[in-house]
This record gives sequence, structure tokens and C-alpha cells, in this order.
Amino acid sequence: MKQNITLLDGAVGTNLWKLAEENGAEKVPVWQYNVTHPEFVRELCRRFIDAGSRQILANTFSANRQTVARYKDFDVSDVIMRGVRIAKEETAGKDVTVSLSVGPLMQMLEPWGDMTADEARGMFAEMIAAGTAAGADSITLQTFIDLDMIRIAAEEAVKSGLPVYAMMSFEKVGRTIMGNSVEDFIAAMEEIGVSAVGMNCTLGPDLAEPVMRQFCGKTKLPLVFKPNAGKPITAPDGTTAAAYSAEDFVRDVLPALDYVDYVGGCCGAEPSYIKLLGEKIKQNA
Amino acid sequence: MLLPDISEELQKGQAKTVKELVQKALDEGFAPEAILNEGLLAGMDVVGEKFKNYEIFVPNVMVAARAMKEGLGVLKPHLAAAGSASIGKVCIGTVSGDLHDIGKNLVKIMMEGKGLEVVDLGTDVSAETFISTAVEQHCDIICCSALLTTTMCVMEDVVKLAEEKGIRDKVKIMIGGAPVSEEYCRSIGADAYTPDAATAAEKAAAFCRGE
Repeated sequence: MKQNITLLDGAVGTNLWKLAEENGAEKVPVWQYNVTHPEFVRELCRRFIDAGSRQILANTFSANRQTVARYKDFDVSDVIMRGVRIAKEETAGKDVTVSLSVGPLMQMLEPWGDMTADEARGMFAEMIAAGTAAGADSITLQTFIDLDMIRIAAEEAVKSGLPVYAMMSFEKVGRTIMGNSVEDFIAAMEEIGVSAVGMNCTLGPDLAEPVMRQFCGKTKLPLVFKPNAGKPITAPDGTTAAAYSAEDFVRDVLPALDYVDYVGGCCGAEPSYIKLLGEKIKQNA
Repeated sequence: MLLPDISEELQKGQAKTVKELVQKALDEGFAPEAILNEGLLAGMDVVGEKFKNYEIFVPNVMVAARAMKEGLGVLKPHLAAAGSASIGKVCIGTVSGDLHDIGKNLVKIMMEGKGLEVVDLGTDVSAETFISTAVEQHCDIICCSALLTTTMCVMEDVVKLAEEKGIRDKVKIMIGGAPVSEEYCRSIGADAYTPDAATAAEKAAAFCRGE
């Protein structure tokens, strides 16, 4: 196993919705909880820190102007600063850093969509400025499927001077749904000067690990891996449960520990998954 | 060779050429239905199949769909005369708008490529909106997309509401998205689960043909 692997956190969105459900709150786009239910966001930060995460995400993934503007009474900078501050308060005095989470914009870029590169740049810059002002320690770009879009986000992110972790969502054939390859992604990110590259979301660890492996030997940059917990399974009575238990998740992530530098989980990965992953890393170190 | 050429050019996304070839085919007396089925739709079938097999990706599908639209624009007045401009009507939406809606958009493109008329309800669509749209716009099919387990429950609400409003025997309800499965589809009483956009379009077209 690789030495000095940094344990990241798991899912923000699915876990916040779970907390909302447990507390009888409405399921809304999760960035709203920074304002309406900061106690949920705080609780999730705590649970990941307790699980052993050394770096946690601020709850800011889709808090961009396009999505925030669809709801009145919210402001992008305010939502982001609150998200970062909550995480910073929870990590204070602990050896845990906070990363600003930046996801793709809702619309597609020209020529496929109506959004210009400048419009996209403006929206990413706005998120990054707010996150930096609120004290984020790094920036995590994740779940991108369009290389042109993550390129713009990465260019804006490196301007902050903070470490930038860049992840795209690859299909099992090793390309994003837009057709971008691992090689093209690495080349673009190296040129821009990000701190680490990798993949997150879309696939469970069993299907994601072979794709993550494609990064090996293609870059000197550290690698970051955050697969989904797995596809949910529906019981005959209609209830759903995670297809992967924490044990399954960790078992399937394990081969990647030979070559990745940062590891965590995405959709469905609960704090218990991260805790078990951390124990495994310690055992093997 | 004119109709296979239309299919070929459509697959390459050559919108201008497709438009010209469709006009040429009409001028040469090809039946509008033949131009649609053996030219445009045949081309989109290949595109759908290749997309499903990861041989091509979203940009290729989008340029092909644009070419399809251009060709259809020329063809539509002639098809309308023959009463076959659309094989059926679908309303589609994502039950939650928290993440991007690319899956839903792809299904829409693929369905239009199959000659279906698609009403796009966007994201954050409530069960009420799905049902009222289906009633008001006489849709044959309701398509629901979900991204997370936490929003899937809306699909069940759609099925229940369709029953309550007495339209369950008039519409097919199709579901898709990352967390959805065949088992889930059965458990909520929806009509079909499809794992990808191309299969969704095929299934919808089959429903409209009464299969």
C-alpha cells in the first residue's frame, strides 16, 4: 500500500438529505441548509471528522449563480461563505482541512448549450472568491463531465493560490459522457497546474477502480479517488438500501490504495464507510 | 442510395447536407415516410446504438440530433399532410433539480430522434405537474428521471396520482436514472425502467406502436 494516504470524507448531498429526513425537514437543494439548517451541515462535518477524515468538503457543490438564482432569498456568496465557515468552525483546533467544493454548472457550454465560457468563468470565480474569503484551505473540483468546463473552473481555482484537487466523472470505459479521456484530462490539468487529479461519483468502487488505475504512470501529480458507495438495491417491498455495505465498499476500494494519495467516497458513502476505510488504511500502513 | 446517404450524413452530424438531401429526396419523389424511416430515423438508430456501446459520446449525439431536427424541418410539412409527423407524445422531467439533468436531456434527444414529440418539464418536477401535463397535453408517456435515492419516491407518487386521476390506463410511465432499477420499477407499478437513453427511446417508440 502507498504511504501517507490522506483520508477524505464521503457524500455530502445524500448524507444531508438523510439528516433532513431524520429531523423531519424538507428535502431541498442541500446548499440551502447552510442558511436554513446549519445544524445539519455542522453535524455532518462532525461525523466525518469523527470518522477520521483529514480533509472535509464545505457544503458548496452546486451553490453557483445558476442554481441559487432559481430560489429567491439566497445569495451565492452568502451561501458559500456560510458553508465554509461552518466547516472551519468544526475543524478548528483539529488536524483537518476544509476544501471548497465546486461542481459543474447546470447548463452546457457552447456549442452544446447556451452558456458562454465567460459566463461560466464568472460563476466559478464568484464561488471561489467567496470560498477563499471565508478561509477554505483548498478547492475541490468534482463530478465534471466536460473537459472544457473543468478547464475553466481549474484556471479560476489556481488563481486563488490554494491547492486545487480536480476530479471528473468517468464512465466504465474510461471516458466521461462527453467523451473526454483520462489522458486528455491529465494533460489539461497538468498544464493549468492543479495539485492532484482523479475521479469521483457515477460508479461504485468495483467499476471505478479499473478506471482510476488508468491514471497510473500517466502523471506525477498525486491521485484522488472518491467513488460512489454503489447502486442502491430495491427490496421487494419497495424500500431501498445501499447495494454496498461499508465492508463491500472498502473491499472494492482497497486495490486503489496501492497507488492513490487521497481517498474517500461520493454519493451514498456514509461516515461509517469512511471510518472503516480509515481503519483499513491504518492496518495496512 | 439517397436514403442511406441521409442516414450517413446524419450520423456525422452534417446538418446542412442532411437538409439538402432531404429536399432532394422529396424533389425526386421519395415518400416522406420513407425519408423519415429509412433516412433520418435509421441514422438516429445507429447513433443511439453506438452511444449505448460507448463508441460515441454526447457531442456526437447532439450534432446528429441537430441534423435530425434540420431534416425534419424540411420534411414536416409533407409528413403533416400524411398525418405522421409524430408517432407519440411524451412529457419528461427530473424529479429533483439538485444536480445536473444531463440524463433527462439525453433521453429527450434520443426520443426526438425516434420521431416522438417531447414536452420537457425541466427539473424539480412534482407529481402534480407530470400528471396535469399528461392530461392537458394528451401525452402517451410520462418519463421520470431521478438522480438520488432520496428523490425516487416522487416516481411512486406519479404512478399513484395517475391512478387517482383516472388516467393510469391511458399513459405509460417510464422511469430512469442512476438509483433506479427494474426491481424498483416493478415495486412502484411503473411500466418500464430503462438503463440508458437509447433504450428509453426504443421502449417509448415501442409503447407508441402499441407493443
